[in-house]
Order: sequence, then structure tokens, then C-alpha cells
Amino acid sequence: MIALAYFSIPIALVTFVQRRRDVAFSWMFVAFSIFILLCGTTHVFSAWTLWNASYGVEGLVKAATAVASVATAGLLRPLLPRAIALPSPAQLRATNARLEIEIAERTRVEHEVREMNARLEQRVAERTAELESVNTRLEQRVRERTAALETANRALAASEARHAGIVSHSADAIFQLAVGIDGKWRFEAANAATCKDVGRPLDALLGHTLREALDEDRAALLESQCRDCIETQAPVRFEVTLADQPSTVVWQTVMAPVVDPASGRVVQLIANARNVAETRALQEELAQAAKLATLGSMAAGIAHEMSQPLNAIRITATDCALVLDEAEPDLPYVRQGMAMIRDQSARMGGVVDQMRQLGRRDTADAGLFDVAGPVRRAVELLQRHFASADIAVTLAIDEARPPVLGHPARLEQVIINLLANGRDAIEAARLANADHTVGHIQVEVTAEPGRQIRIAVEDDGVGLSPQVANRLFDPFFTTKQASNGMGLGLSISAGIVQAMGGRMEAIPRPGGGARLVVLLPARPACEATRQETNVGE
Amino acid sequence: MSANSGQPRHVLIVDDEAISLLALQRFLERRGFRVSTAGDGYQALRIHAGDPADVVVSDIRMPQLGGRELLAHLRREKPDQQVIIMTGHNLPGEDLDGDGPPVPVLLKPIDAEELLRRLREMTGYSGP
Repeated sequence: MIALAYFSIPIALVTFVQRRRDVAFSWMFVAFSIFILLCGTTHVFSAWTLWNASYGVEGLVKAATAVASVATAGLLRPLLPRAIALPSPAQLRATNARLEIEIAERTRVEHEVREMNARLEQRVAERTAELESVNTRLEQRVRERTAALETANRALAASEARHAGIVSHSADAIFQLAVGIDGKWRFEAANAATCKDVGRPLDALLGHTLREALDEDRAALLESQCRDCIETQAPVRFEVTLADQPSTVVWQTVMAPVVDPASGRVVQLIANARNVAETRALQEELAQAAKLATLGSMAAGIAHEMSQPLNAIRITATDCALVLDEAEPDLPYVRQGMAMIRDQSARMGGVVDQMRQLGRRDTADAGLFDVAGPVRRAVELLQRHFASADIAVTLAIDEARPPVLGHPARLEQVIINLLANGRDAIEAARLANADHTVGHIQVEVTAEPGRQIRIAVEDDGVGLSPQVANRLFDPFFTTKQASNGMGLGLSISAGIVQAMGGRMEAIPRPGGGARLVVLLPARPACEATRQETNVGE
Repeated sequence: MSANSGQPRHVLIVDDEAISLLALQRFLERRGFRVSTAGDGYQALRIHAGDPADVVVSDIRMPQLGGRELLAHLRREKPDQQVIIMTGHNLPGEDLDGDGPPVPVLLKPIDAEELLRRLREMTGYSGP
């Protein structure tokens, strides 16, 4: 029985070890098994030897047992501390539990991380989608802009080609001067007409100064204009008459400055010069025609001025003839009569002379003169005639008057024109309003020394509307009936004044009527009669 | 018309041109007329109101009150007032006579002898 127990234990142990491979020190269990097995065997042999005397076998078995037990014991000793150190199941469970908590924690964290990741990825996806759509839009815009730029560029190129064509083919001389830091002006561009006019090829102009490219006089003239233009930083207009060519040439020039916005300095001068010789000639013809037309419109005035002295002459002559037929002629009476005839004849002669002057074509050069002369003559010519039509003409002239440059007869023509227009305006007002009986025309000559002379003709007639005021100086514009005037007068007058270097203005009077003003530049008394006139803006 | 053919007749000359007035006044006074002068229509009416004229000789074109208007005023007062019109312009188109005696129109420069003849006719006065 003991043997059975002893044999079953090792079997159990081995089975255990075999079943539980994870048991630590399993070899120890095997060693125990062997030991126990041998011990059992020993017991078995003890019992055996009771009946059978196989002491030798028993002795072997015991020896084996001894070896096994010693070996096992020997091996067990070092194993003991290690076996004690083995964690108990409770410890293991605790450790397990801790591990499980940690695992749970880790799992949770992992879960969170995964969730965050998922959210991030979603956000990234959204952002990517946004960026893509923005990109698409940007690309669209870029395409549109590029297309627009290309169109604009093409248009610009076409426009430039057009303008270049216009400039190069223009009959006007168009050129550009660069204003150098050294204060010199050099040709930067010039069209064909410029080269032709100046008589130099393009490469003789480009890059060269005015003095180098042009002859002395022209260069000097242009230089003084350039100086003015740069000083005033405003366009200047001037005329240059050249009489030494095959035919007279009159260059009407406009020169404009180009200012560099950064430095405020004038960096370029652009000029456009037009030959207006033919136009001037036509204007002369037209002025002459208008003068004759003025004479026509003055006919009633002239007739009046002639008729009155003539009336007195005829009556007196008849009177004297009858007296001389008497038996004893009263010679002192006749003499008195002759004196009257003489005076009145002289008066008529003055009127005839005035007419002659006005009708004469101007061949003389412009000269310096005092405006008082022509203004007085014009007023005196028409004053009496207007007075008998109930229009009072008054004249006020400033004492100190600088001279102006031009033709006196032409200025007289202008004033006559203005007076006649004033009379017509007053007559028109009377037609419109029977109460408007009194008529006044005021002529004023005021001088701003060193600057200009102002001649104002103011009437209290029918007045000017703004639309009329704008068109007043247009040729053939007239507010009069067809029979009363061609409408040339004011535009011719304006032309005469402009040729004298001045300008005209038409200002409606606040109380009704109009104020026509002639402004003429005052000239220093010593200025010679040069052909060139300088007209400021 | 005065019954006394020996009395100097009063002629009122109206013209805004002084020299014409003077020449005519001299001429008519020499021929025995009593002459008053006026420079415009209103002055003429004032003078005539105080010292009526047998004949009023007036220019047509004058300031304030012209010849036509003066004629109208005179004829209103006295429908048969004698008037002679002088003019430096075209003859007036309308009929100046109205209902009264005819109004001669003389063109300037005046034919003085013609004027004299008319005046003598109108006044029945032949001079001193």
C-alpha cells in the first residue's frame, strides 16, 4: 500500500508538471518524483527483502535513493530562496489587477487618441477641401485677370500704334524735350513734320540741345518759352512768325510741362506747333469782311453824323444865297454863314476820315498805342446817334494808361461792334417790355499798371443767358434777327483782341443787361514792335 | 391862321441837333418869323403851352418824345394844329395826317426854300 502511495505521488507530480508547463522549477518536481519514486522503491524492496533476501538489489536501490535524495537536497538548497521569492498568487493577482487597470487606462487613452486622430483627420480633410475650393477660385480669378490684362495690353498696343501713327503723320510739328539736370533741354522725340520744319534729320535732333539742333533765333525763342513753361509749370501758348522762308510761316505753338510727381520737377516738355499762316491769312480776309460789315451796321450812325452838319450847311448856304440876291446884301451875315459852313464841312470831313481809316486794309505792323484814342473815336461816332434813340452813352477813362500793342483802327472796330451790340440789346429789351424805355451804355477804361488794360462796355438791355454767354464768340452765332447782322462781329472782335495778345469776356449783369470786357496786356513803353506775341493761358 | 397877315408868325422848331436848330432859326428869323427852339418833344410842349406856335416844325427822331408822339399830343389839344415833320431817315410809312390838315414831311438836308414856301402857305405870312 505504501508503495502504491509512493508511486502514485510521483505520477501525479509528473502529470502536474506535464500539464502545467508553466510551473517554475519543474525539474525540481521531476527530481522529487524521482526521489519519491526511489523511496517508494526502497520501501517496496524493504518489504520484499522481508521475504526474499535480495540485499544486493536493495542495497542498489537504496544507493540510488541516496544519490537521488542527496542530489535533490543539494539542488534544493540553493533553490529555496528563489522559491520563496516567487510571487504568491495573491501578489500575482494584485499585480494582474494593477496591470488590468493600467491596460484599461491605456486602452482608454488609446481610444481617446484614436478619436482625436479621427477628428484631426476630419479637420484636415475639411481644410483641404476648403483650400482646394479657394485654390480653384484663385485660379479662376488669375485666369480672368490674365485675360483682362491681355485684352488691355492688346488695346494699349493698338492705341499706341494709332497714336504713334497720328503723331508721325500729323501736319503739326510735335516734339518732346527732356529737361536735363544741367538745365539744358534736349530733343527726346520729334515727328516727321518737326524734322521737315526745322530742316534737320531726326538723328540731328535727338539727344541734342536746342542750341545744337536749331539756328540761333529759333533756339533763343524756344528757350525763353521753355523757361516760362518750367517756371509757371503750366502750358504756354505762343506764336512765332518766320518771314524768311519761301512763304511766311506762323507757328502757333502749345508747350506743356510734364512734372515728376516724386521730385515736383519738370522733367519733360511736350510741344505741338501748327502752321497757321493760311488760317491767319483767311482771318485777315474775314476781318476785312467783318470790318466792312461793321461799316454797314454803322451806316445809320454815319448817315446821322453826316446828315446833321450837312443839314446846317444846306440851310445856311440857301440862306446866304438868298441874302446875296437882296438889293443890299448883309455881308457880315453872309460871312457868319460861311464860317458855319466851313466848320460843319470840317466836321463831316472828320467822319469821312474815320470811315476811311476803318475801311482801310491794315498793312502796317502792329505798334504801341494808347487805347483812349480809338475808344473815344468810337464813342463819339455813335454817341449822338444813340442819344436821339434815347440811349445814353457815357465814357470814363483812367488817367494812367500803359500802351498796348496792335492796330488802333482794329480796336476802334471792336468798340463800335460792342456799342452796336449794346444798342441792339437795349432795343430788344424795349420790344419785349414797353416799360423799358431808358437805355444806358457805359464805357469804362481802367488800367492795372504793369498788367493789363480793361475796356468794359456795359448795357442795360436784354442781357445774356449762360448758354448764350458760352457761345457768344462763336462765328455766325447770333441772337439777332436775320436782317440785323451776320453774327460775325463778336467772333471777329474776339479774334482781333486775341491777336493783340488779349481776350474778351461776356458777363451777364445781375440787374439785367450785359457787360462785355476787352482785356489787353499792358506793354512796357519801350517794347519794340516784334512779330511774336505772347499769350498766357 | 391869323387874320392879321402883317403879324410875325410864331414858328416852333424842335430838333435834338443844336446846329440844325441854329441854322434854321437864323434863316427863318431873317425872313421875319418869330422863332422858338426846343431840343425835345417835352420841352416843345412846355413852350407851346405857354406861347402857342402857328406852325411846329419838328424832327422825327428825338429822345424822350419823338416827332410822331409830339404830333399826336399837339393834334389832341388842337386838331388843326399845323405841323411840318423833318426827317433824316426814310419817309414814315404811316399816315401822319390823321383827321387834321396834312403834315408835310421834308427830308434832311432840308431844302430851306421849300420849307419857307410851306411856312408862308400855312401861315399866310409872306415876311416883313
